Amino acid sequence: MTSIEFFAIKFSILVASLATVINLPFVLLTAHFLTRCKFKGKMLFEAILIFPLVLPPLVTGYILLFIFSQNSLIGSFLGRFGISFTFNLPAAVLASCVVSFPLMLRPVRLAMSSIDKGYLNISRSLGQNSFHTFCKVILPMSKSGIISGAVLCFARSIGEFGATIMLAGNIPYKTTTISMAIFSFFNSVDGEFACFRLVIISILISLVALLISEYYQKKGLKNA
Amino acid sequence: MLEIQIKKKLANFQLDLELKVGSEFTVLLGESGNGKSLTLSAIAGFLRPDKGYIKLDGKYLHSQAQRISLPPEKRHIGYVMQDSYLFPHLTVKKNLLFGVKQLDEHLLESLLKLLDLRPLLNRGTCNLSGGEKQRVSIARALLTKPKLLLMDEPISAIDPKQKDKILIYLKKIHAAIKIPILYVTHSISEAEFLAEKIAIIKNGKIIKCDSKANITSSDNIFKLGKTFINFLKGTFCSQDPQKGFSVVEVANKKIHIPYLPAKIGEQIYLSLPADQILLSKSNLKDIGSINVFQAKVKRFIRKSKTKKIFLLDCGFDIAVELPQDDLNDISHISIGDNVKIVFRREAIEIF
Repeated sequence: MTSIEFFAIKFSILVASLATVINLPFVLLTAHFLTRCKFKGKMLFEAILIFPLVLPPLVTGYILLFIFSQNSLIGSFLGRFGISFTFNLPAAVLASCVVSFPLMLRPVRLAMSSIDKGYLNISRSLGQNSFHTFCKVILPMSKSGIISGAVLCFARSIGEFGATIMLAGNIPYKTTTISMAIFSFFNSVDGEFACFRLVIISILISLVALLISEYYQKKGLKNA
Repeated sequence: MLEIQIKKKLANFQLDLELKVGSEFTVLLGESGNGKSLTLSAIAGFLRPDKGYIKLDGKYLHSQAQRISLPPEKRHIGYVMQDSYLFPHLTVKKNLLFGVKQLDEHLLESLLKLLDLRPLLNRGTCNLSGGEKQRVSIARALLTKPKLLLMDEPISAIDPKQKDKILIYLKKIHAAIKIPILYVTHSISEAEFLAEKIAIIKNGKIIKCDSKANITSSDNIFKLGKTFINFLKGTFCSQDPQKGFSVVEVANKKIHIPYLPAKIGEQIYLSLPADQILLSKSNLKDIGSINVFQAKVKRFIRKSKTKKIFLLDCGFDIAVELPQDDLNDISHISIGDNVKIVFRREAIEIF
């Protein structure tokens, strides 16, 4: 294996891990909010949240670049503090976060909405406030959905290409992910074997992730 | 002391309630859809009344006028529901201690003893029977030392054998812990067994609230709304599925009831509305679909322009409600008269 292949694998795992960890609290809060709250425009709000799932990743990347490029309002504001979300690790993480967010949200939301409201009422009657009920009842009872969602998020981030290449670019030894490396090797004259190796590694990671996700989803359904 | 005076309008239902609950075991009795569970939800803080107040030991839990509405966790009210809602990710012991801020070892010990929970402590909740789950749920609610315990049909989802056990446990708990209990049920047998005070709810309103002795005219006669209900406890004798009836013995009298698959010797609770019984002075015979018994008129319970209610003795006390029209047909009935009481087996409800 070449050093760029090693870098691509390490970088992809780092980006996917960060995206999963960063997404997790936002997903938990959003899923809880959507499960327990009723408000006008809820459907529209949900549609916006799952929009990256149906939007071509290149378009998502283009929108992110439009928002965070150094010429944009937000990009130039962040630039004043030395923060940049273009062509670097944070850019790759941000792209992965946005694209994988809806994929993580779905199983978590499903798990949370399957909890009978009676459990929450009982917890409150036993002196636990909303926050403690969330931590002591909702989170443990949604464990399967959360693990399943996190695994899906990780797997999607590993395979992410379109949005990442738009926002983070494909800079060797800086922002090259497995998908980008496969794309580069495929287009190079002697990259056939390297491309094949990365494809196999990609398939293995995705398969393991999918199996873990399925296992926890089924476990969650059994417990529900 | 719990004082409630609330109004809540829902889509097709109006809850308009006034009730006081002291330290006694109070049963809120009524049929399904009359607002029993809504009442408990409002007291526990899960339903916000439109008007009125809820006061516990002189402190407002909710008051529209004073703009107070404490969240459920600050009301210090224990809640046991029809479903036990034991947390599946915790063991029995952890379920019991859920929500306990300062553990009262003495209380824990006495609850473990009273409810026979010690053998269950380290078990998961999935393998418990319905009765065991509900016992854990009751102990869990009591361990937080609530000022009031609300119980919403806690034994309706349990098999009949376990029901009797739980009823006995509840009696023991109330005697030992002396906590005010508001118990919701539609079952007259549960009310009869548990209550010191009965509040009858109908269409969202308390139509009667008094001590059990004042609500019931006799040990086995209850007034539910405008109707008197005879409540009979008997032993299952036999069954005939082909002819569609079973026989229950009450005070040496064999009563035909609608077919019920039960075991011989099993205790059965029956209810028979007083207006479903006729009196006859002629010599009728028991023909299975109609129950006929010899009885003696003991006294008049109530008399109005349209009806008259008698208390008769046929081995057990039974109330009979007759419209004045019928009374004209039967020649004069006096106290001490021997008559026949007649009722169809379909008029009997089984609990």
